[in-house]
Amino acid sequence: MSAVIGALPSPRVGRARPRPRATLVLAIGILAIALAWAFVPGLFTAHDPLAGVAAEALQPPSPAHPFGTDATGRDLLARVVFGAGNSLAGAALAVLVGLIAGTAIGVLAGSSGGFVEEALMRVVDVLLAIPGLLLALSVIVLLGFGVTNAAIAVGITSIAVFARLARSQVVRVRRTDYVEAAFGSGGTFLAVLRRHVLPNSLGAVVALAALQFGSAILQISTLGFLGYGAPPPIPEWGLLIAESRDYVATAWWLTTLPGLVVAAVVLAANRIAAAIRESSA
Amino acid sequence: MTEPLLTIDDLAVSYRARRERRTALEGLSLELGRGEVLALVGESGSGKSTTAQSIVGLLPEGGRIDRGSIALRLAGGPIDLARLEGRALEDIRGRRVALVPQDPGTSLNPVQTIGASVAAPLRIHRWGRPEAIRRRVVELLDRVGLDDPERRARQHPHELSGGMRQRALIAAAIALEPELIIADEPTSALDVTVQRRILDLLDDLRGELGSSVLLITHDLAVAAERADAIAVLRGGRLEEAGPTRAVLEQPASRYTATLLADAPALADESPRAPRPPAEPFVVVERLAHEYGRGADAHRAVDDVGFGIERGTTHALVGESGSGKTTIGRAVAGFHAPSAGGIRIGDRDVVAARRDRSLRRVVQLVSQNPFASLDPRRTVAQSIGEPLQNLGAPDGRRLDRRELASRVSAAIAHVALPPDAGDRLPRELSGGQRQRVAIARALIIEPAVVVLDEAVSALDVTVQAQILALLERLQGELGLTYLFITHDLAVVRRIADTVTVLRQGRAVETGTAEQVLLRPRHGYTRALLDAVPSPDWLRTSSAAGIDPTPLEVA
Repeated sequence: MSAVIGALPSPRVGRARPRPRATLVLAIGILAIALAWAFVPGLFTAHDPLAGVAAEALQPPSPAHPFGTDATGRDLLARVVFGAGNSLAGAALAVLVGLIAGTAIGVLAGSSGGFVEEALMRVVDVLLAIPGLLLALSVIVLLGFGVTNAAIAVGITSIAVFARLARSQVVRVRRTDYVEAAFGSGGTFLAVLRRHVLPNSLGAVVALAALQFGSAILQISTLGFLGYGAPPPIPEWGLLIAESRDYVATAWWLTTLPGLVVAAVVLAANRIAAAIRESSA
Repeated sequence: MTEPLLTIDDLAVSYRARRERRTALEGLSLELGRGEVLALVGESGSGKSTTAQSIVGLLPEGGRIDRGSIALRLAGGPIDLARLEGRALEDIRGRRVALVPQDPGTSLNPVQTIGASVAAPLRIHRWGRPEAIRRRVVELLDRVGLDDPERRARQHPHELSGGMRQRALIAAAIALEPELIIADEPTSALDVTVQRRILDLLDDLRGELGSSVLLITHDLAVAAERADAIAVLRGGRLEEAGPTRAVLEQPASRYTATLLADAPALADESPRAPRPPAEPFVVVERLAHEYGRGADAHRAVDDVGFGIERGTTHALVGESGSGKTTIGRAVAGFHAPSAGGIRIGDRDVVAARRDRSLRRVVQLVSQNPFASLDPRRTVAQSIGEPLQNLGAPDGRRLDRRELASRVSAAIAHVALPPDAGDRLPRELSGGQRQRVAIARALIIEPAVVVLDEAVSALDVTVQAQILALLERLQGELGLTYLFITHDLAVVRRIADTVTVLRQGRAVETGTAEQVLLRPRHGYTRALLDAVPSPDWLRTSSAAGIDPTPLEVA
């Protein structure tokens, strides 16, 4: 109570704040729609994402084709809707790979300390030193092309970030009085780790996972754009944009509309990550 | 009789808390005369700091003055600080009303020199040319008793001790010779001997400048010693106010009487009588501990030894940096000392440090009740944890039902409400959390409990309750306590034997009666002298009713 006087210089009284909830609700809504596209794409479009009608090629957005059509007359909205499954599943897999491997490394390093910690964290430093895209491409070259392999490659690039965050959280929690008290209560290393260290350190890691979900969508799209992801004609968001780049000047909707969808989903994931971080802090 | 400098009339302040507004002050009225010291006394949450913040217009975000007035009578006529805003308020702040903050550790900008920090109010109020300000800063630093003020002005906060930083903050506060100095717990973060010197300095400056001082403190003894008048706050309301002596000798409210009875420094009780000597149960021999290695090594504990008999309390007393916590943690088996031995009964603590069965023998209750409980686990989970880890005191594994019944017995034992088990630490008060920590330490029925400043962070009434609880449990369970504290008044209440530490060395060891009443070492005497207590209390007891250790000290 009396400690606040020096710390709070703000003399202003009762400042009105914007409502942060509205943007969070919007973000959850966007992500929910994207997930619905992934699971039941048939509900959102009557068109076939693969079969085109040549007569309707390169039509601008219209009531019949809200996102327009591409060079082979396929409905773009249908391709975006059906592409959600590939892109989101890939992002989820990528996050899962990074989350599980990175957290395991980070928790092991943070909780064991000493030589093990040094060794693991230097490996992580090496991972961090390699540019993400280069690392992902190298992994794909080793594993072969395809949606799943692209996702695994993206996941591997995020291991280092997860490992560093998990380690810093574990180290922070390990220094707290309550962890010492838990050892003082006769707790074994594993019991203390399970009961106190993990529950108190993983909140920030979960927030990072949501953040990484957004960037994984971007990275997978990048790989798709470069031709290392899903092979055509499978609809995938990055590939959709890549295929349309020849028509940027003549058919703006082919790149712009899928690009906006990707941007909206990524921003929504970031907003949700921020909310998780706030509530776990 | 001149008009008072400051008159607070029917002040009400509330804070926004989630949906509703929480009242922090409700109809507070106070008067502070010119050149006087008014002590604002109360426990945490009583509204002391809110009062100070209202006066200087620094209420935290969400705080609002709902009604009432704060009249400051200056030469140019009275000003209502409650209505003042913007420039007009800034003009008053620092120039007419200055604040000495609570924590000298965090109140100075770490990247600014001391000189720049002290010069800030002079610069803001355009006191003079840079050259004149520089001279004035050195003069001020000299006035607050910092040695070599020219050099101090060039130093950064981390190069100064806590007491020196507080002096620098006082220098900044008096820079413009304000009419009113608000000192918000100015010495709570400092050692007792430093506290005494800082309070002396504030007294001197008040006499010299003729300023009035609003002294905010949780420590009734400080208020009793230093203030002309006392106002007791409780839950945002004024319990009572009046001249210091009248309030303390004939408290009008029962709450004040409770506060007085619970303040260990004011209590007229003798130390525990010495017991016939017996075989010590806990033995610490030639203990030494060094932090760092080689040339950087810092000897935190140097050749300390003492013994504790079974069922008694041994107090380790010392100021910050005296090594008391290092010793306590070594006794509890939390780290190995660099040299020396620790035995509990026939167990070698140093050798068995990593042995989990040692936890059945010795438990530690740490200083901070807010940090020592896992925020995500309920009270029952925290208290039951030692049983889960180690089984029952006799070594059996417990089933769920038995665990639950033992936990609820432990909750009852430390006088927590029965439904406390399902709550999370953040839903408990500081005193309740410390009860949880004590229950967790005791559920395994250890023979020895190390209490590291276990009551220091608590309000006096809560402190008195916890001390009573510890005494009761000692009687019931025959516990042996190693009680670490900086507060000699608490030692008098609870200790059988005492070791006084200074910079890692034991300067004096003996029974509480001997150390507190007939100290042999100069440092012990200095510590005892520094315990605040009003002169009239000392003289009244010297007049011959009941000799107290304070009188002897």
